[in-house]
Amino acid sequence: MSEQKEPKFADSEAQDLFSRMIQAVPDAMKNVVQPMLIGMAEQKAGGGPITVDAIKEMVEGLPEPQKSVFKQVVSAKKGLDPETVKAMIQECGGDISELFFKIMGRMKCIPPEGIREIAKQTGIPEAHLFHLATTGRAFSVSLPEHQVTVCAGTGCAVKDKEGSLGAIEKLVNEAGAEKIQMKKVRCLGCCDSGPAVEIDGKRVALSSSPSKLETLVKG
Amino acid sequence: MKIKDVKEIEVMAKEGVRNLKPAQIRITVGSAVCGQSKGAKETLEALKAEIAKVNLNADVVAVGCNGLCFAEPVVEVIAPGMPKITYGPVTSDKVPELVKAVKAGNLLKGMALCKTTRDQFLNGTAIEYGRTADLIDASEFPPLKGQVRIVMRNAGLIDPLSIEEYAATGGFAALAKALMEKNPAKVIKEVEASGLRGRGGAGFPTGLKWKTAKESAAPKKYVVVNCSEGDPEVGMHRSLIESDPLSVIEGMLICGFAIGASQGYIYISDKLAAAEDKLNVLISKLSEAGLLGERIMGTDFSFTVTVKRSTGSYVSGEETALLNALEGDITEPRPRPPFPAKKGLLGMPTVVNNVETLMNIPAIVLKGGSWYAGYGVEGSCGTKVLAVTGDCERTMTVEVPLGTKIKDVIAMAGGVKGKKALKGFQIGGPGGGILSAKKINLPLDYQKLWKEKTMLASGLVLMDEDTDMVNMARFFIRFFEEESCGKCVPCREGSHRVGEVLDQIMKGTGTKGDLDYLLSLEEPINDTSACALGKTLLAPVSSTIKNFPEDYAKKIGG
Repeated sequence: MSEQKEPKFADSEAQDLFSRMIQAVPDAMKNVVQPMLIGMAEQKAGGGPITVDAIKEMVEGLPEPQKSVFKQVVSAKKGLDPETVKAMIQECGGDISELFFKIMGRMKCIPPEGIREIAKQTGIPEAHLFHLATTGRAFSVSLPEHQVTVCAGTGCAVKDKEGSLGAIEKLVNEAGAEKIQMKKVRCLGCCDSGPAVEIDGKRVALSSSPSKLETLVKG
Repeated sequence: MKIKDVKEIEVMAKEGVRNLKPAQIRITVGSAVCGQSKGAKETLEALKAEIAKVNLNADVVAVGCNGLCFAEPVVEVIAPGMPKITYGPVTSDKVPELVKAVKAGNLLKGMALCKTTRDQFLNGTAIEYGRTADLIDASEFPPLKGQVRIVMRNAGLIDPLSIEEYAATGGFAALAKALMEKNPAKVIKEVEASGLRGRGGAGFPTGLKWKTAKESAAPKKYVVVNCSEGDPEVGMHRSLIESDPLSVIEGMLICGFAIGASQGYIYISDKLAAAEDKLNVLISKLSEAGLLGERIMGTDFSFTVTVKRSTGSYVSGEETALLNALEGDITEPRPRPPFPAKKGLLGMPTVVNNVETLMNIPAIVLKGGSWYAGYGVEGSCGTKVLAVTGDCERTMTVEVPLGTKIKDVIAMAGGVKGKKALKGFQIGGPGGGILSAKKINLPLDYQKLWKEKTMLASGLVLMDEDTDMVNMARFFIRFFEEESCGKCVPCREGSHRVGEVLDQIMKGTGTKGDLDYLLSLEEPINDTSACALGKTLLAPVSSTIKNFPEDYAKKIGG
């Protein structure tokens, strides 16, 4: 499922900022604008991984009106301020799971302070919202540096004779939840070549995944 | 253009037939998620590029999954004068060779799997291809021999996004028939006569469910499609809905007409983004064509469909938990009764059917309940789709008549991988336990499988002689630990305690008394859990203790 060449970001902050910028682009233009911005940011970063500073510098060099649109994104507080939450609740017509999917799309996690703000504005008890946010497999309340997704379906469990999935789980547990989180899904749809492993959204061969994870965890 | 009568559907169907068998060449690529994981996208692009390069007049079409996962990416070629040839696996590097052969009008022997000379559709239309090619016929090809495709009638054949191609194979004909006859009771009668049971596992008679919903007086009724596959099996429903989403929508419409509902929801797992996108595209296409929305086909019947993403836990596939989730509440099961058919979504009568169940409906309505009941055995009518995975030679999806023996399904999948011996298999999902290899003579029959304390769910998982069944039991209990929603204490806490006892046994510090203790938990946990997830929690443990005592004996030292 390899798409175009994925850009390299220096850290999750840079990546997050960039994805928030892309979200400001109208859907119809994303395909054109995204590679353009990546190219420009890579240039500013001098060929290395894209940093927050490189993105900011690139935005400064853009023509109007793009410049001010993206500047707004750059200067926006990271997180969910009350106005954003209010607008998002309205957009979802009060549908909380839709709201959570929206926040996940924007921030890749549902931060606890955001949940408290939603509770304040909607009158829904915090406990209820936390329950929703922590039991749905599609949601997460914290954003680790790396994410590994493993297929834990029966077919894959049977095929995994060497216990590689267990080894990955052990590595992840040792590294701590801030560094890396493991998500178990029940089928990634490629049973013939399972067990499937994805590291930061990219398919990785099972055999090479423990060593790849080790470098991530230690690096 | 708004479709107003059957004639206009026939016009659409004719257009579709021209797509399916064009004057030039048609090349299809199996591009469901299973194909894409093996490089279908690259193959598709390479095909387009190569065809342009050699100046070949051919349509390249992305289709769904025809079930031959082991041969992905699967490519089918329809060329004038030749039978339809199925090739696989066709990775992008093999494309030039294939295109060269197609251009020369030749068969590329090394990659060819089988040929098809004729495709016969539900509406009686048949497409004849050329007859001669030195290749085994699809009906004799071991992975396909013995299959009957009703649910998978369009899988891998049509472009899932083309309503014309869907119409060509008999799509919308059943809906048109139901709407023109204006007799909802007759539709329900046909479904009852078909003997169709819900394909989710519980096997509740679909006709009875519909009848109950129809007879419950209420100001509003709903149809909900359960496509929240959390089963740790294989993405069987994903493959179905991705390959032929229109059959699901047509099934929903017919159900809505029969029970008197005007609103439907498709509750789809968050992992099925590709299918979700397709559904949304189709919903707007159908609305434009007058096949969804107000006054469908010019009649009084109106129906809207909304796609809702599930939050992705196992319990969200439980019908009452699913309804809670749809209402925006916490995904936890409700006590039953009242059953959803009487009091479901927002307190209104609601039919919750799974994807496979609904895909049967257009065929039943078009060809009649007794035609459908002609497949299968008494009490288990029609066909069943099963994803065969685990230690099998060929991972694949099959559709066979009910009553087919499990060993015959195993044979389709080429037997156990590496010629090893089969130790056990699972057919009822995690709550169905693991049966011993001795049981492979069992037929796919609801009653007979219930007698063995298992069910008929969506997958058949083979386990070879090297499988440690205690380890498998531990895997399933961990699954329940992680997936329990926490509502009922016996399930939430019970799963952890059972896991602890299994851990002791695996460490070698278990005793024989532990096994008796585990078995004694089955009844109380079953009695005190609200939904099937808790009720069947102990099945993987009790079934392995009973069917594979030697594996436990090894660990607790006699």
